[in-house]
Amino acid sequence: MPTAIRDVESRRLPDGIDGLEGYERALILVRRDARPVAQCTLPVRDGRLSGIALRRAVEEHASQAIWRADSEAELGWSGRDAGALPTRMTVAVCTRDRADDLERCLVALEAMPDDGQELLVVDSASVNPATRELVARHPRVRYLREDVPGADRARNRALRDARGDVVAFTDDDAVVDPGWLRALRASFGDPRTMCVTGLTLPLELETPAQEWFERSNQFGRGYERRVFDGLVHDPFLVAAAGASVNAAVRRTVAEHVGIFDESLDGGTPAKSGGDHDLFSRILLAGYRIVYEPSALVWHRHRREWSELRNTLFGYGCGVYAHLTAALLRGEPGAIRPAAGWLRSQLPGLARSLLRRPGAVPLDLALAELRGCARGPFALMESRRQLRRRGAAT
Amino acid sequence: MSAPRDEVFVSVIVPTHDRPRALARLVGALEHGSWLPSRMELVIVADGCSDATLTAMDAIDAPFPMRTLEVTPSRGAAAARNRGASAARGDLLLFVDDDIEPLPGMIAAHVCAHEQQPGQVIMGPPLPVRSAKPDLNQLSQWAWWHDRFAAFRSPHHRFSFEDVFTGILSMRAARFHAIGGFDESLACREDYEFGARALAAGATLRFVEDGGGWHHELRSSEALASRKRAEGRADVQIAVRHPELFARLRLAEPASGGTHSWQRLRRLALSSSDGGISRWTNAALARTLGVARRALELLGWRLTWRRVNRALLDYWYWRGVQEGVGSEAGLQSLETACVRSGSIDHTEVRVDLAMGLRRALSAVDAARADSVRLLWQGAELGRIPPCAGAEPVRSEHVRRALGTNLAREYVTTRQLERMVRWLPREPRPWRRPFMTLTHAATEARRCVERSQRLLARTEPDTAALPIRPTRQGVLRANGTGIRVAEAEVAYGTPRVTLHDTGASGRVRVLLRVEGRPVDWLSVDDGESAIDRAVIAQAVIRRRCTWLTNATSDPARECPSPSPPISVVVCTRDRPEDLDECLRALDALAYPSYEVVVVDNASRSDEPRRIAEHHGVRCIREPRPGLDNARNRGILEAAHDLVAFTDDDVRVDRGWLSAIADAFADNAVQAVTGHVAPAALDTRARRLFEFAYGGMGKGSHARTWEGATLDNASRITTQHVGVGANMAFRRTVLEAVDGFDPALDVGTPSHGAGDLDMFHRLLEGGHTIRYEPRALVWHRHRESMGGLRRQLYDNGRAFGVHLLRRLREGHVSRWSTTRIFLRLMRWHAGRVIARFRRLEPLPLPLIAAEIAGALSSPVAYLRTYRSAKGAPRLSGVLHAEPRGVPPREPISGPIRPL
Repeated sequence: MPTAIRDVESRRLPDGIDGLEGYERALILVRRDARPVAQCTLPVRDGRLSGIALRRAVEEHASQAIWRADSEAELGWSGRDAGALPTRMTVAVCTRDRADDLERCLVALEAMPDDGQELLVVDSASVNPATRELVARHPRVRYLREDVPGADRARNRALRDARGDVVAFTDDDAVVDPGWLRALRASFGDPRTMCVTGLTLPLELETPAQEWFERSNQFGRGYERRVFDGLVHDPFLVAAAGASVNAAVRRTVAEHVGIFDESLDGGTPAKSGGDHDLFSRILLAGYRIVYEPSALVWHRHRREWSELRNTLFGYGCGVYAHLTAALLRGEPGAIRPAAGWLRSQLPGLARSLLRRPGAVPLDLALAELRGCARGPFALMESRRQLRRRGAAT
Repeated sequence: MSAPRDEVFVSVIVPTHDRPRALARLVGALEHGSWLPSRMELVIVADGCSDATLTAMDAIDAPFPMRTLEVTPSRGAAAARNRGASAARGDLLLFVDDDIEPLPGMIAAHVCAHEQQPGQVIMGPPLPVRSAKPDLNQLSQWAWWHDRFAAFRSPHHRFSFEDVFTGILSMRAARFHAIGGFDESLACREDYEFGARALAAGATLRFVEDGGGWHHELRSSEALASRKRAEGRADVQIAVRHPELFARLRLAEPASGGTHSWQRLRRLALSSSDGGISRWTNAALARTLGVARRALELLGWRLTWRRVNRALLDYWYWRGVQEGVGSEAGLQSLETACVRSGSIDHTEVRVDLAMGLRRALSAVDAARADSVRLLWQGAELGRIPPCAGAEPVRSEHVRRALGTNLAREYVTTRQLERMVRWLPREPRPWRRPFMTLTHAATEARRCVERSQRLLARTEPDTAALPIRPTRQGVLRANGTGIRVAEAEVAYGTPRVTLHDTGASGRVRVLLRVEGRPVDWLSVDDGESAIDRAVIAQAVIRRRCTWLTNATSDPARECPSPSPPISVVVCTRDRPEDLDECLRALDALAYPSYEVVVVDNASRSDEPRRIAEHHGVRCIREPRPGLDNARNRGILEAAHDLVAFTDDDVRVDRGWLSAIADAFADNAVQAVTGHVAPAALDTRARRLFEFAYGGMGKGSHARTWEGATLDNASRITTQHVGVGANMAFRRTVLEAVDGFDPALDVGTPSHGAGDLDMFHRLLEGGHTIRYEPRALVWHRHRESMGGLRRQLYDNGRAFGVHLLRRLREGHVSRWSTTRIFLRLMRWHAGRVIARFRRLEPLPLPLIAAEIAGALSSPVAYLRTYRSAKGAPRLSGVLHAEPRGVPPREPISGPIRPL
């Protein structure tokens, strides 16, 4: 039962939305003056969403947020920290053999208003020359090539070679909103803010795999601005802060906190966890991560069920690899979240076993659990590979 | 006039105590600064330095004039700074601590800032430098400093005396001497004390980002502890010197505040006077906390570490306070003395936001008052309170207040404003009445205060109008009845309609915006009190969110069609009520509808006569049972939308329009509406409405989508609506085979027909909408006996409903059982609360409901035994086709609402 995704501006609500044949529901993103303020899911009747139903939904779900946004605009009060903003931004997309997706991503990046930002594609050991050829067709985009696979290695390359003060990362299977970069930049007022993350919504929900991904691992973290302070917030509960699909870090992170851990994340046996590892180190170092909902990115979730299973396996693997890495660094604080994560997984697994309504399908739950078990070993293997490669060069 | 830039001569004053290396670093940084060496001098005040240090200092070489003043023996940093200031030749004094490494542009930034606006005290950030691997203590100090600077950087920050720090501080020499320099008797916090005097003398505090430096050497935990202790002592001294600041100091925190362990810690620290056991326990405590802190750091439990760290520092602070005042009693007498002598006369400005935000804000800027009271059309929105030792309120502070803690009130006023402007019904109606009615507002306030006294309210909430009387309060007003009224507030002067005449007394007014019931307001006697200002005040104080929905109502923007509706009224032996009900139905403002009266086995022929009198159809249903009658009504109804109401109900004029609006969404299969009390004259009625909760389901529209609900919400359909006000699409009624004839009034179950219907709709995946604008007025039971019977019936009906669900097994039995257990627990809680005098509902009534619930199994058996073979809707449909042909729907011009 696919879900259509539509984007409406509350100042110009359409008289109904047509062309929803074949959809059962519609996920509506409500904006106020281009800023996302709320979302709601509505049932679709006869391939159409009536104007009344739409208005009513906006009234019920978004009116408070709209009023709030209007009065803040009138007051000139944003709640953001005052201070010097970064002068130049760099957008870095790390990609590997996904030219089709990358094309869409680059088009969206180029559609952003030009504030002098630098656009960077880091090609992480693509086998296919299509990526290089594609970037050559986009003159504003700079191309970097990294021969050793690994998403974190590519990100480190971007951090090293970027010309901006802040590097905003997004994935090749994501599409950014035109106001994305500006929203990210505006939150860097406080020097203690080392990282800003944003709202990620699904680009499409056509297949059950995509629906499940959205349900089980919601990227969207709500429409309230949140601040994760390294001294107040548990540094190992960073999943709530976001992910690297929509995150920007200061380039100075390298000297204050360190770079991405190259034994983690895509392209290594650990499969993921590189972003959360950096986030937790940022918090450990006493810096802040700000979640800014007006920085919006649309992410195309995996379409196939098997891909989803692999992704969830990768998440489980990455979380435990990252926690193991933290333990090896001498952070005993990682023990508690490691146990807590397991404790929250097991009841879900029991529900899946009993096939309770609303429970995660068993194979997904098992895949994630297997990933968790695999995590520490994956980290070891990944480090071994890294060492071997280091010895070879 | 300030001197032009390169004419300014700057004296940099550095007090130091045995830190030659830090000093060399500072001088080196100043050498590399952008300021001309010929326009500055460096005054080093060596405060009790040893000879070795002095010789080391002499070796430092600098391109600018440098003097070293010796103060022996050491007299503290404050004295050293004063000494430096008196010896300084420059017209700008810049105090810098010796552990600071100035940024290259520091001096220039300070000079620039002074030129822009003379007469201010300027601070630059001493940015803390932390080691490569900082421990948590360093990290938290580092973060504390950064957070402070983040606050200062914001234009919305209200500076106060506590924001002054001497790390990097500059002002004109004349100003410094006029303020009187630092207080030399203070060992620390001399900066705060200086700040208090500077602000009192009218200085402006400013923070200059570029005028900072690197701050080396964060304090170790031990140094921090002794610093806290010194702060405690200094706070006592400040309180003695400036009693008006007492409330702003930490030692003013009430002993009853905080957590229990915090209170114990404070008591322990304050009682540690004269040696003996208490000193011993204190030392043990401090050591334990210190060890715990270290252990937690090793374990990496930051949050607990923070708590313990704070406890430890608090402990040392209170120890310092204890050294200043002696004991808890000493602190109390200090407080009494401060409160007695430290009363401040602050200025307050009242600003009405209705004049436009920009004008209001410039009024705030012009007034430079200590506190601001924000109003809208005379109604109070909120206040920025006076704050001893803080700068006057600026417009930025108001902006922040309106954006944060007064945000909801502010949004409400904007909504009110838009509501008033939007509606052109009366041309510019509200301006004049408003001006004159501010008068009435004070009158109303007086009235309300009188009633407050009458009701013996104990809360000392002087400014508040009793918008909603407390439950106890209403019920205690035993003898006097409450009259019910409604007021349409969207246009000009509110139009108040009193629903029952009677002796004067309290009036409970239902506020409606464009017909939508939004809130209840209680006032004392007479319509004069209910004017717009009172209503605005009520709305703001309640921070009503309903207005949002009321003013963005889509129905107005795209008028929905008015499909014909059949209204079914089931009646049995209540001719007077029926008469009144039909009269209200006659007056409905709706273009096409018909009324069908179903006479459910009445003993007399009266209903038919009354129906004929009103010109509506009356059908007789000989089988007793409300649901039989309803099914008959469905059969007889001519239209596709069927609305049900009871005979003891008076419908609102906009009832059907609201129902039709709700049905405009094709997904909606059923609509329920708000039920308001038609009269509150007897105790039974008040009890039912206020203590039992009445029949209304609130002023927020809600949608229940059967497809997405969980089991529990599908069973607890009492939240969805009541049978006195509901409407369905005919198709869905036929799809679920009508109402269950075994249920509801007239059968042993005594009710539950509506609960059952809502449940079956949700179970079938249909959507029900609760639309508060579909409003009816219900006459509750007049006598206590009637009320007791009704509660008994309610208990019984819900029990039967649950049993039916259990028997049916469509939803999991465990859910049903759990709801039953929850219900029983709720009843038990009520009984207990009653004995503790927390529950206003009298015990016999609670008992009646429980008895009803307990009798439900018997009722269930009886009701289904007796109903065996009773035809459902489909049965009736096939057996007895519709008897009377439908009449033409009443159609005519739409009567204005």
